[in-house]
Amino acid sequence: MAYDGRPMKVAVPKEIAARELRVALTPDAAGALVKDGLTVLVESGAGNGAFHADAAFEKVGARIVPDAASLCGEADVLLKVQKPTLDEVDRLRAGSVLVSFLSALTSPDLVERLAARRITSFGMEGIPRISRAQKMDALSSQANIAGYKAVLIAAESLAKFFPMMMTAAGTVFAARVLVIGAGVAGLQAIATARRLGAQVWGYDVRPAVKEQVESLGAKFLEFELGIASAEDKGGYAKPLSAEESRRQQEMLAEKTKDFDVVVTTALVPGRAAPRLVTKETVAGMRSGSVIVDLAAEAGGNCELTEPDEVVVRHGVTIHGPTNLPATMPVHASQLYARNVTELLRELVKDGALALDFDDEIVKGACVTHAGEVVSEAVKTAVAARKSV
Amino acid sequence: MTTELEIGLYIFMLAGFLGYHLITRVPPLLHTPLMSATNAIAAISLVGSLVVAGSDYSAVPNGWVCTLLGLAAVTCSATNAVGGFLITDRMLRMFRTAEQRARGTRRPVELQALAGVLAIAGVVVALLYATKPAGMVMTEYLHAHVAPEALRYCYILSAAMFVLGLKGLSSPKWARSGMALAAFGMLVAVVGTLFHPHIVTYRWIALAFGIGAVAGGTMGLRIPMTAVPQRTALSHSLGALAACLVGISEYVRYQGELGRVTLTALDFEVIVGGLTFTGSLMAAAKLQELLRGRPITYRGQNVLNLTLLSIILGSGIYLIVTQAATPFFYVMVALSLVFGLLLVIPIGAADMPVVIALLNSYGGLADAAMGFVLMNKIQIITGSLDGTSGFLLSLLMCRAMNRSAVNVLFGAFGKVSEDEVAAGAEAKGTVRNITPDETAVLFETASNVVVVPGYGMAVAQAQHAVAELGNILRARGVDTKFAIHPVAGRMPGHMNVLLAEANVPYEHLVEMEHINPYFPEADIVLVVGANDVTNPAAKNNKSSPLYGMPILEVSRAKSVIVLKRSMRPGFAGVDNDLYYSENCMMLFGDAKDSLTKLIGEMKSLL
Repeated sequence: MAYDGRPMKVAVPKEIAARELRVALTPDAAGALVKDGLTVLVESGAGNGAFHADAAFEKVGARIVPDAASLCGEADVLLKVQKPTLDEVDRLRAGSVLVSFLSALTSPDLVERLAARRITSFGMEGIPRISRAQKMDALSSQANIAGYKAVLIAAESLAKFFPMMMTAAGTVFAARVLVIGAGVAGLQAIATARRLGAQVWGYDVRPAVKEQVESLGAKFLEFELGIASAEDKGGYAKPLSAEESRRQQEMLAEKTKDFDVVVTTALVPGRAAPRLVTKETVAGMRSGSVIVDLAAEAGGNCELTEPDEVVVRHGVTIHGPTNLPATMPVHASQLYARNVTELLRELVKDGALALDFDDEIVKGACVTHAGEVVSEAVKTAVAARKSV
Repeated sequence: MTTELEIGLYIFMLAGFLGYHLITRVPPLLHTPLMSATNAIAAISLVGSLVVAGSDYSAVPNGWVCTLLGLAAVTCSATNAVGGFLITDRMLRMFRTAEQRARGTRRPVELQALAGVLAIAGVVVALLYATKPAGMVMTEYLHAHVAPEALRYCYILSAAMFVLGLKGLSSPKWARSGMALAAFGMLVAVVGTLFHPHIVTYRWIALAFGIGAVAGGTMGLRIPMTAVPQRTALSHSLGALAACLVGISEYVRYQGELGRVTLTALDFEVIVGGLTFTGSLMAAAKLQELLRGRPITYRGQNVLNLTLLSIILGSGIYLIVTQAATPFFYVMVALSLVFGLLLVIPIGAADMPVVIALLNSYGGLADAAMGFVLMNKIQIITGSLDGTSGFLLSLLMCRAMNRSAVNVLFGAFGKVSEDEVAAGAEAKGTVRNITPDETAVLFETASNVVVVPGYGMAVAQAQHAVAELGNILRARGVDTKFAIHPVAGRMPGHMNVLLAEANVPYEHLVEMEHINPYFPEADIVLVVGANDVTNPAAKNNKSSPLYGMPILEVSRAKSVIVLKRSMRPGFAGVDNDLYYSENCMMLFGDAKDSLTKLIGEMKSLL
């Protein structure tokens, strides 16, 4: 196996973003790539956050490189978790490959720089939702963790029991949990809240999701919005019109009053998160209730959310965590490493990069190649931002 | 109407109902052994043949003809009886339960049966000596007092045994014992018949029976299992021939002295016996590929058949009305032989199972008719049992082939529809349905089971039922595993959440990579609402949207049962070829309902 005559070098840097403890490859995944005939380089200390020492990487045949600069100088393929900073991009060799979360739709500067530096970049968020690509779907694998952890945070900060208990000292009623947005994170939140013994309702603008919510033993919160279909062809939610959105807020405000915990997970790809829980809604909730807003990074589903802060408003505790997967770095890294490894296996044939731009996965995930922005969706988004 | 006839008709009717109810309980899995078993039981014509062969014809002109016909009938029936029971037993040996297999040794049904026979014989002898008045010689006592009574008791006993034997076929567990019981019933009936007051000589009977037993035994033990349908057909033809011969013999003997009722039964016996004889021969020849399997049709076929049938029926009615001795009788017999040939000629080899089941029914009815002629109740009972069971079986087979009974019974008789079936098979193949009770029967014989849960289980909230099934199977010593595909469900870990809720232990859950090599060992894979993750197109169809996704290779198991709401495709929106494969059966309906029914059936089978 060779890349321009020598084994292809796959490099893993240490993540530099604040509180980011994940790493793009675990020793197991690195070992698998070494077995495939690739050379794996790991920046010293890259795995520390996820409790993988340098020695563990060396043991499976990876080479430890002391600093990021020399790592990037050598790398043919760079595997990352968080989207790179512009400085990180500048360190990469022209023509090398970058696989990472890129948030390409909302990061025009990064995309331009990647193109300018002639980097072939793949955004993990662009992996299409098709059966064949499910093993590469990092959005799902990480959202799964976020959904689980969101409920734990809610349970932690709720001054009540989750399960029902009938005791000699009286009866404690089960907490009522509402999960808004029944994507992967939402479904996992529902499942976790159910496991903790709460009474759980799910809500989503896509009525088709009702069956999935019920498949986890939760109830579906239903009200009439008069929308034909709020689902795009990839299975993600579509934005609503202003009128529809206002009606939805009113209805939710009415219903939300009865809940102890509200977990919001509603996201529309490439856009600000829909405003589902208004100031007034929060004011109408019982004191002591808890909101966990998983859309904090995209502006929040709740009007009062502050990213990475815990605030108390009208007696309601509002959490705005932006990177929950990083709070479970061991499993988050294990799952993410599997995602990138599978993508890499799809892209690399016989030790060399072989890109088939007719393939759905490449079409969806590849953002820049040979100095051009190749993704149509990203091209449109970048153009739209510039014209503003 | 005489009391005898009245009782006979009641018996006929009730036995018919009984047959219907017994057969509806028999799972399709056991239909082939059932056909063979009813065929063996139909050899009860042996009883009538024995009486005819052993009767005293010294006062009848050309009495030797009657004896000869009787002897031929005994030979045929004996072949049928011995061969039929042997081959049924061979077939049933294949349905051993997990328990029996685990014990490693074949259950010695034969030894048990032998012990039973000896014990009963001992009791009977002891009873005889106990009841014999002092001073009387044994032979004298037997002749004067025991013989007439013995016959009745034997017949009652054997009737009960036949019914219980057929009942045993409702589960593979009891099928073999049931058949042993039925065979014993046959033995009792035959032994009882030897006490029949009409029988005066045993020498010829012994010879004919010996020939039949050797022929039947050789056939039963030597014939390959693949040739069972032909053998069954051949056996039918022999049984029917026996009925026909006995009928002729009776006619020769009594000529014009027969009453109208007896004549009606006798007409029926020889006509149906005759056409079943040649029809079954024809069916056997087609199955053995001595004749072309393709339907043979010609112009005016239906008209010719109808004309022939009218002539036969006309002659029959003429005989009954005039009550005269006439050569018309022999013409009628000859024509019904021809009619049997013509009836089966236009049917393709593919439809033969239905035809054989139907001929089985005819054979049973001919037997029952013989019972009315000879006023022999055991024959009425068995004939009626056989007649209804054969008829029902042929209807069930029609349904399994997705054809109406009318389509099979009349008209082009299998020609047009065979093309349809062939066309369908080319396009997609057929989907095999299975019911919860049939599934329960399949589980009886399994020792390795893999459950593949999917989104359908989640939607139906069937996890508790699935877990209970797992517990029941494990309690029975069946190795039960749950195969979890990495993308089963609509969220990561979907199946884990649900199965954990139902308390399925983690160690029973197996990942895809680990379970795939194990599938060939699995007797049954139960797919509960999983679709795309089992679709073989992911492996072998490059144009499929699933191509490249690793799947659970369930089709490598011995049999696959899929619980599914409908034939609707899964998440990826593609058809699943698995459902059309040979070893796959579909259990349609809500997964929770189906599983609850299945568990209920499994408990009731215990």
